[in-house]
Amino acid sequence: MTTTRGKYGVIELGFQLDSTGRTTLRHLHRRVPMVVQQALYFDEQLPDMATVYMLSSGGPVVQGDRYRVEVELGKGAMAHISTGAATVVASMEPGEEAHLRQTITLDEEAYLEWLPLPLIPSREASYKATTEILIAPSASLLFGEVVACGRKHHNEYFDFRQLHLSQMVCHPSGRVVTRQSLHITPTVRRPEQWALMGGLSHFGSLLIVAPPPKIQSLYEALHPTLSHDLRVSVALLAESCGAVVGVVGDSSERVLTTLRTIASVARQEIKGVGMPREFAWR
Amino acid sequence: MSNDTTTLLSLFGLAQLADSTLPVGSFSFSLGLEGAIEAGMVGTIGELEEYTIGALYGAAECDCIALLEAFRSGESGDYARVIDADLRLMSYKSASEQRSMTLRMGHRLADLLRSIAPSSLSNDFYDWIRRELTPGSYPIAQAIAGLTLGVEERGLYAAHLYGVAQTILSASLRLMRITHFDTQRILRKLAPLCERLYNHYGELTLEDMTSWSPSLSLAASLHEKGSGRLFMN
Repeated sequence: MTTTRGKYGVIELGFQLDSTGRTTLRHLHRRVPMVVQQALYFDEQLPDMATVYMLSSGGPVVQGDRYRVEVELGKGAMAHISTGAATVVASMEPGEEAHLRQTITLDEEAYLEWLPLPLIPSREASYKATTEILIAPSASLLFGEVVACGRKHHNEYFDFRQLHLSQMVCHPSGRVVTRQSLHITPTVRRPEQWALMGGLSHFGSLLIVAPPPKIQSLYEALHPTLSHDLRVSVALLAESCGAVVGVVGDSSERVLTTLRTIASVARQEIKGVGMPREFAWR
Repeated sequence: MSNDTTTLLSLFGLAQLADSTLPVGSFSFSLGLEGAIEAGMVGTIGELEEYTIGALYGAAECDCIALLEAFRSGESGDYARVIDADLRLMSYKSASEQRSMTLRMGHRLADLLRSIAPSSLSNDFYDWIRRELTPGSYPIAQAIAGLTLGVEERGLYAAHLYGVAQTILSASLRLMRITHFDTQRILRKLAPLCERLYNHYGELTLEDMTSWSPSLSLAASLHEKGSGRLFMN
């Protein structure tokens, strides 16, 4: 139970299609330290798609921090959301923690790419992030996340206290498409165990939800990978409503690059075009 | 001589549930081991032991939480929570072969139960599955079986974990160079772990379930996409 009063950051984003077919950021509410400046349009493959970077002006996530992110895409809207930098969760005193609560709503035929930079939990950090996603059956979502073992230059290797990341995806009918949950308490179960990280340091996942015919052909196009420094798993959700890709690697660059490559294949299946190369400075 | 027949009945029910000849089809599955061996992830006795340990943790963090929730809810007559545990568990099953396995075994056990131990509960559970009111996953069917056969909670927990280890180790006898002595040695070594898992995870709720086992997910994925087909997962 946290007792420290930390920062309370909020971002609310509402995207809508305008009359020209371009997605605009119709609603923007932010509360520092969370910052969003404006929607950008630089993706040459999807020039009408709005790209938004979520930034934080308050340094790392510290004990007692609470964050709330709400994103809504109207019918047919397209958005790409990422963070401006990696999210570092700072060390905390015993019993302290920080929370993030996210809700994402996609109307019919909406398309969202959610690909933030890595989460880095420091020594003794305790962090919980819950994401609830309500998605119309004709909408599509790529929801990615990457987690590091800690601050490598501080020689941290799963020295955080607790990390709990969960996603629940529902259709508007109330039907649960999938639940994904990662709950790591290294003092109870060391992540380097064979069945978990198997000695590697970074992991990531990409949850893809789209209409079943697109998911079926995407699943056929993706293949598991096993090498000494990279492992990729692929799973097909019930009734081909989605696919889950898991990536474990030896660096954030490797995991990010792999996830982006797979996200590009998914975009190709869903929107008919791949992703442009990531900027060299990211 | 003890005249505690309840305990003997309970132990007999437990032995029947944990028996590898229970006709629920567990011999058809390897819990991903076939894919792991084919890809070279598992090749030694030590790696097989690590694999089995990972599967036991995975069960304790997900299936066993649903099993205990269903068992305790069933004991108090709250069958809506039994169904909730079943639905919740299935929503965490990402790999299609995992879903097929748990449903196939669960349905077989439900069918078996109403035949060998007919009761209003075992009949109702079979009916709920038939009417698609509940998925009928294996851990939930085991909870119903435990309630029907009078098995106590810790015994049921042990039976589930024993079944996980037994499925993998039995499969290993057909997939790699290993003897029955080796597999029995591993089983014996893992008993204290099962005790620790119950003590640590036994009081967790459905909200605490986790489905994160990257290497086991990879093994499942390799099997689904691979050519090895001695086992169904």
